[in-house]
Amino acid sequence: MKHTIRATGAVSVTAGLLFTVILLVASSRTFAAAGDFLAGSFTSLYYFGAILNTASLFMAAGLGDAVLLTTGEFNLGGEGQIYAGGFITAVVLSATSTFPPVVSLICALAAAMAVPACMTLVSGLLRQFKNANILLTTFLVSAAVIPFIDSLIAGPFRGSYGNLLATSFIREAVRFPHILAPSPLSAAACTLPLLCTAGWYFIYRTKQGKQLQITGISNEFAEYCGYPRTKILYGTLAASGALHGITGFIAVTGTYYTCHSGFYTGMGWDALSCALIAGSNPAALIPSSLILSWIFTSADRVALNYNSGFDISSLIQGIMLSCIAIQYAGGEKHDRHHS
Amino acid sequence: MTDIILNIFFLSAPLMLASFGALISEYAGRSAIFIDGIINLSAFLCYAFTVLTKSTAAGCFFAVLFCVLFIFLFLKAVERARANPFLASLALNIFSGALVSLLSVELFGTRGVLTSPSFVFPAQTARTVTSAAAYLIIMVSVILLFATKRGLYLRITGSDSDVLLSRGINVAAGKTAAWCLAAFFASCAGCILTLRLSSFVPNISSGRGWLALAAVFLGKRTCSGTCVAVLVMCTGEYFASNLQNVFPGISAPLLISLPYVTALLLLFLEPNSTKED
Amino acid sequence: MDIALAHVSKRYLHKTVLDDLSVSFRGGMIHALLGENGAGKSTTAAILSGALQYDSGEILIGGNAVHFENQRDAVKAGIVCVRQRPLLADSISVMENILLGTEYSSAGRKLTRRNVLHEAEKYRQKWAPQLDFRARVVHIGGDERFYASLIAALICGPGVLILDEPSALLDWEQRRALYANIRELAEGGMNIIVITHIMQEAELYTDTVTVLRKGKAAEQYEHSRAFTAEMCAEACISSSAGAVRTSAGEYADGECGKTGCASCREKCTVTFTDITVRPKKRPALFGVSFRAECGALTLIKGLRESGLGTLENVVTGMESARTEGLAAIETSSSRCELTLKSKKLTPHFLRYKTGLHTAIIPSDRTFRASHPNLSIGQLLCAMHDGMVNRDYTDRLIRKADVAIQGDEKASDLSGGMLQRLILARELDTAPLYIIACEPLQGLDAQSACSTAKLLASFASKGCAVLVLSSSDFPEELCGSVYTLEGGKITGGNA
Repeated sequence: MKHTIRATGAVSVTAGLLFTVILLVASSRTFAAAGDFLAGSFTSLYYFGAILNTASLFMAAGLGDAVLLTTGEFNLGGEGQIYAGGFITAVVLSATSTFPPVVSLICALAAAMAVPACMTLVSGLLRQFKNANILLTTFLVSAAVIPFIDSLIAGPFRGSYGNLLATSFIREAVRFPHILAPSPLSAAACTLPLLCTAGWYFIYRTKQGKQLQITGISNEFAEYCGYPRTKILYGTLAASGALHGITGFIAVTGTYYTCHSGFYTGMGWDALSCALIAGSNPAALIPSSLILSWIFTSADRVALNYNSGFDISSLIQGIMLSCIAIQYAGGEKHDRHHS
Repeated sequence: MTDIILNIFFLSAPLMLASFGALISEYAGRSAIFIDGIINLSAFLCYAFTVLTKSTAAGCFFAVLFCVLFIFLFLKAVERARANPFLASLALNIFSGALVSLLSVELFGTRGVLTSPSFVFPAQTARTVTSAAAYLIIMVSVILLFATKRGLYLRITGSDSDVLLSRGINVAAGKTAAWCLAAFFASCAGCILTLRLSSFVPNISSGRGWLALAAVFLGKRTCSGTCVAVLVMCTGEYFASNLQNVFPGISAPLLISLPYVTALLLLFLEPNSTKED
Repeated sequence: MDIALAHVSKRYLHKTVLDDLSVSFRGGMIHALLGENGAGKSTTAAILSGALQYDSGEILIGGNAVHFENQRDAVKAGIVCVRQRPLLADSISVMENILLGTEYSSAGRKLTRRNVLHEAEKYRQKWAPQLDFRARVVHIGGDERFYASLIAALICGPGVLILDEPSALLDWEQRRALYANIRELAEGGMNIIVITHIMQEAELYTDTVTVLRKGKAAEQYEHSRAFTAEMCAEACISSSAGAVRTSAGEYADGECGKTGCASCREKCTVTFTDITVRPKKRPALFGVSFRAECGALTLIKGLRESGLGTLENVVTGMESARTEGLAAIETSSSRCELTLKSKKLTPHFLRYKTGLHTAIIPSDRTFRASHPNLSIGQLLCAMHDGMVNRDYTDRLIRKADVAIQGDEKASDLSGGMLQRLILARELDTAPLYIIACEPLQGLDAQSACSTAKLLASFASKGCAVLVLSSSDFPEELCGSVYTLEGGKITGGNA
């Protein structure tokens, strides 16, 4: 099984890389851009650190996706949950500016986990009482929340920094320092591989994890076995939301030091791609996040240096997800035995 | 009152088309997640082909044709590669957004709003004609779906594919047809949106693809239920868009979230739906 | 139309289902195909009807080799199959189901809608006058589903008609009428192959009998009169590696102090009162009351269209529709009463909260008691405390006497193997309360007998055993027998 995941994940990433290189050569009409894409980021401390930092954000959000994917559900509202986590972090840190830094950070972390968890719990309620599709409702909740947060950032919570659409910068004392200057890699990023390892242990080495896996294979069988399905539903949704919220928390306290409008863009889909490439295996999230982070960071670097437009990143995103789709054949449910 | 009802029907036309496409894909057991992306792509192509050919009919025709062919080839690639159709159509949504932006820069030098003197239509005429065309297409499609044998096959392709297979009916062809039809309806919706605005606006779909999927779910995957769900959502949207006339202080981003909030509220308020439904 | 299989083999990863099978069926006759579970009967039918590809060998029609890429090719060649669970689309009407695929009728006949209606009406009047063509399939009974499926098959004008367990949904009168009509078809030249496990039917109604064993044709009788039930019992004796154990002691660890023997443990009685439920897509139940007592086997017999499936969902806690009624579980030390409306009667409650280690053996063994994508380890350790445990898995595999490894998939199991593993898993916990739904479904006579005896042995050890069955469960083993008909129950102590 593990060999299969590694093999098919490698195939999809390789295919995605190949397409990317072809795209870059075609758009820039030289091989220089492609060469810079493949190796350039490792020649710069800034970009190297950016890769690691972005990877850590993917790990956190990807872990949230992986937990839910294990039970057979998709969280398509990652972007809104990351945004909500980041926004509430900035707001709480600002509101607790007189508190000791540790207390302030703990409050912000708790809020960053709680608010997105509540967003996903809405989907849980709709699933339990209305049999609504979690994939759809997580997306709808996220799509409803994002403009709301935009209006708050543009309105009452806007910082007074010229034309920047962002909250006030958080105070120095609650910022995780950048450990690889001048890159945005923060100290908080170092905790994510540990979190992924803990996630792996939970899913593959505990009874609850076994129940999640079996629920993901067959809901009906899980119900027949007497698994606590309500607990599984709400627990995994809350965990998924909370982990996306942690992503926002790390982004604000470790990378941007503010919540600016749209910082979440693309993060949700990228994290989902990481989780899918990793086959929902939290341990495999570490390498898959690193690889995808490298790809997207390098694509943005090339866009800047060769003036080829940031749409390349979205194209690469789409191509990567298409290649991942090949890894996940047979997506249709069994017709007569809907879970 | 008549004006309001008429305006709601006019407003509903694009979403009604997109929802009908989503419904057909649900019948085939393969949700057309790509609808949102195709709406954006076809809106852009309708503008581009109209400006390039100086003919609105040609513009609409080529836009719809390209989108349907694109989905057909995409589906063949998915089947050949034995890929997951759901993930592949998620990818298509992302891909088409980037593609539109790239093509916009290549053809027109900007990724912003596109306008042209050869793409101007009187607002009232555009609304009336496009709405009439939309509802005519839907009525004809309903008749074909419920009164013909092929329509019967399409309707049970998702739920009873093993029955169809045992009778020698090509289920794969049915699923292909369902996605192509979904692309057809979605691309018609995209053309309508851009014709009404007499311009192309990035992300013109405004999430209508996802709302279409929500409408199908709200309508319990039936034709009449989906239509009612669309009308209810658009009624909410109609009154929301007039809110700024009454409450000038309401910010635009809040109004953007209203269709999604309406959909969620409807999900909460609709009568209890159980597993067996 | 003569049809034959010549040296046909079908293999899966770890199992050979058909092993160099050579068998022929002459036109104008009724042929019986018999065999134990896993012998290859359904696989043979699937290959002949184009639903499954074989690995080697040939299909011969009139002496000419043919190859079917899919079921459409088989239908065009004039071969149709009516399955044990008739394949019909529930959401549309009987007539619409009959119309499906009529453009691919055999010999390229193009049937117009009028032709189809006319012929369907003729068949209906002869075979099933009570069948309403306008009714939606979801609302019709099991026998009507069979006839709808049969009429749809006959419309195509087949040269070979395969009937898989045709008697499963019919009563004795209907079976006699069915075989009389089938005889007429055979006399008209049609080649009819009947897959059945009812030996008397094979003896009385068919012309030839072929017995499959382990994918080979073990016995072939050119005249079914030469075939007797005793010969079938001999032919169908499973090897010692495949039998269901018949003693409760062989399943449950009987040592006191470990899991405890039944006589030392709590006794329990389970009572259901006034169960009323009206699901949208399944038959309803009206005021159903019954009791399952300890030390006895309680049988509720009836057909699925009488509500047996709904009752199964209710007693196992899997019913999603709104349910009225009461459930009371009484042990030596406590009594617990639940309203079914509260939705507290769930599998979780039955297994973990009552202290009865309830064993639940559902009728759907493939997708409810198991799932094809589960590994054998996951299948067996699903309710075991902790992770998937290799030792525990291996122990249950040995107990079930099945040749499989823990890391293989449940999809590699035959029906009989799956049944044995499920029994081993459920009965390993020394349950005090056993719910067995359709326990004899799909089993050959030998296995059915063994399974019935096993359940009776648990009852004799003090368990409360509740059996829901639509097939012939031996009533002499039962303490109480109820009959479910039209959603209502009658009967009681035997």
